[in-house]
Amino acid sequence: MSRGRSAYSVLAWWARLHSYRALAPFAVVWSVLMLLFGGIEVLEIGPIRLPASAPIAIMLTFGGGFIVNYSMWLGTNVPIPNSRRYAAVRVIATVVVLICASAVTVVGVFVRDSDPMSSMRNLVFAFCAFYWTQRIAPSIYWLITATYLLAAMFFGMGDDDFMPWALPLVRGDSLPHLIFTGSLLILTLFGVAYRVPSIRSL
Amino acid sequence: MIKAYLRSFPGARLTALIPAFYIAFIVLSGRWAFLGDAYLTLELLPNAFIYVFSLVAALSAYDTVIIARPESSALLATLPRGRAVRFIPGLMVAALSVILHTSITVGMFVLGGITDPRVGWGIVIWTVAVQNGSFVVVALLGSVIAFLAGPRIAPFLAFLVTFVYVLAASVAGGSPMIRALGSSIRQIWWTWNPEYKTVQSLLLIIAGCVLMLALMKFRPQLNALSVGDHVRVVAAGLGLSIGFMLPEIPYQMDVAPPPSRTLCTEVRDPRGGTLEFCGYAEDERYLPYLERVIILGRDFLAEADILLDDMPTRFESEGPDVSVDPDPDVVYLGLPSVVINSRVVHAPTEVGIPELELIANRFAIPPTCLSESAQDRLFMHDSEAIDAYGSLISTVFDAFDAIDGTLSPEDFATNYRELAVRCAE
Repeated sequence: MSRGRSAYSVLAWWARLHSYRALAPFAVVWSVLMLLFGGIEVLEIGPIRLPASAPIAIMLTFGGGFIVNYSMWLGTNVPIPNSRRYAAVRVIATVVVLICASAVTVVGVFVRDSDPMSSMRNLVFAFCAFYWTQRIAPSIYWLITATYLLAAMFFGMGDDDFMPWALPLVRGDSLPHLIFTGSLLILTLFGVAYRVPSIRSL
Repeated sequence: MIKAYLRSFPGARLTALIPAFYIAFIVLSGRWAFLGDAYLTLELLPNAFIYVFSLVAALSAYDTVIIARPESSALLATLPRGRAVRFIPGLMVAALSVILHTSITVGMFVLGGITDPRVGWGIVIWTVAVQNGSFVVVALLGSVIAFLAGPRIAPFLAFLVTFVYVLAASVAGGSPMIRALGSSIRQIWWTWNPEYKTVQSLLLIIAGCVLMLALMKFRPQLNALSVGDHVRVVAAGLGLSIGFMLPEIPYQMDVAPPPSRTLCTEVRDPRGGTLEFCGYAEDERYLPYLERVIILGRDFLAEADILLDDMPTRFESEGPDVSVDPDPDVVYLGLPSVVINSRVVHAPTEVGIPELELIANRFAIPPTCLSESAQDRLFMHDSEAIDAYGSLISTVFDAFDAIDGTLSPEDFATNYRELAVRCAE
């Protein structure tokens, strides 16, 4: 068996092991929301008055981060093979889904010429946040991350801008932001290669 | 038995996040000390609804997936009323949130000492009931999603869908069914529009029934939806979107009889003489702070040497009449924002520039300029008037080295008097 053929079968097996089908409704709902509302800029979200108008995509990208994180879960209870090849495929599969989610984000945001950098930064950040909270508290990781986003929206307001800890709401086009998010992504991808988060969620 | 239930269903346990978020919001927004009227008390918690509703839907889905798993369904099929069991997790989360929400609301009424609300007890109870009805509907929505999506996705999907739904319903042109918009300042001259409440109650009942009917029929998690399932999903979606097709209904209306300023007190002026404050009965809890605000404001002007003899010595709580027919001899104070934002409550020694802005606005501008007609006539088009207005404010700031290029005390006096005359025209 040639090497290329072998890599292909690993990828195919990987896709079969994952319950990508269960991901479909979420991905569809999220993509539609993103394409419809992603570019809309809001100044007020319910009671929260933002210091400057921001696209709804900034909040919605958390759904995209969830999808990317979910895409690496095993759909069955098959133990994860402990080999470099599987680790590499795991990272590749994650990056592929991340690129797809980024494409939806970029299209959704660019349609109305909004702020793409913050949305992209948030997509990557949300993925990393979901991944690491899942490593810490598998059964309620989605709750932790969603509560963090909403707490940032409600309590992260400083005098005329958001506090640094309320990262998802701060404009993301500055260099420190890119460096921070980039390093977090690299760290997270190493984590993905090292171990898939537990599925002890139920 | 309740203990055993809470052990088996973690979502019900996590409803403890609801009071945690509420209390954080009430305390951090600084309004816990000022809950004196029913309108603000009932409109304060809806500020946090966009999170709390999404949370309730997510927790309901989180518990319902335990029932909705294929393994469970085989077991439940053997029970005499196995089909009814699927309602329990959602309704349990709803019941717990209703209990928590109602107790916090009652607690706020007790804290504010509200024994005789201006709007009347009937509409107060109706409003609380409608808020609680919304909890039941979003919990049922979460349960329905638990039957549609995979077990690991359902909770977060429910969170996201509810978040977007509540957001869409709350913006202008949205649905009167769910309202996640609260008020953060007091409006004692308003009450809720009964027509809005009627429509809202009807929509909630319809949505609740549609969701329950849909929930009753789902086959648990067979990973393939039947034609009937699709019909039920579409029906539930329609039931939730009726409100978007209705014309907009005003949410609040004027309270009858209109409130009048019956609460009067005298404030001792350190420069001699007395100042007078008159406010509404609900202002009683602001009185200890008001004296400090008034003296502070006059001290700022005196230090800058711009405290004029013909500035009003009578202060009143701001009401709806200010924009219609302001009294030239009265300084209007926008309570409670002027007290809360001026930090005199929590940290009286740290009064800085942002706090000054509010006080300066009230003290350095002729009261007649607050009327809507003066605002439209002068401050929308007349650049000369805009400059005059701005220079009055910046003169006050100049005393604290915030802004350069301001007026001398003589020019300030001339400017103030000219603007007063022009605004009153």
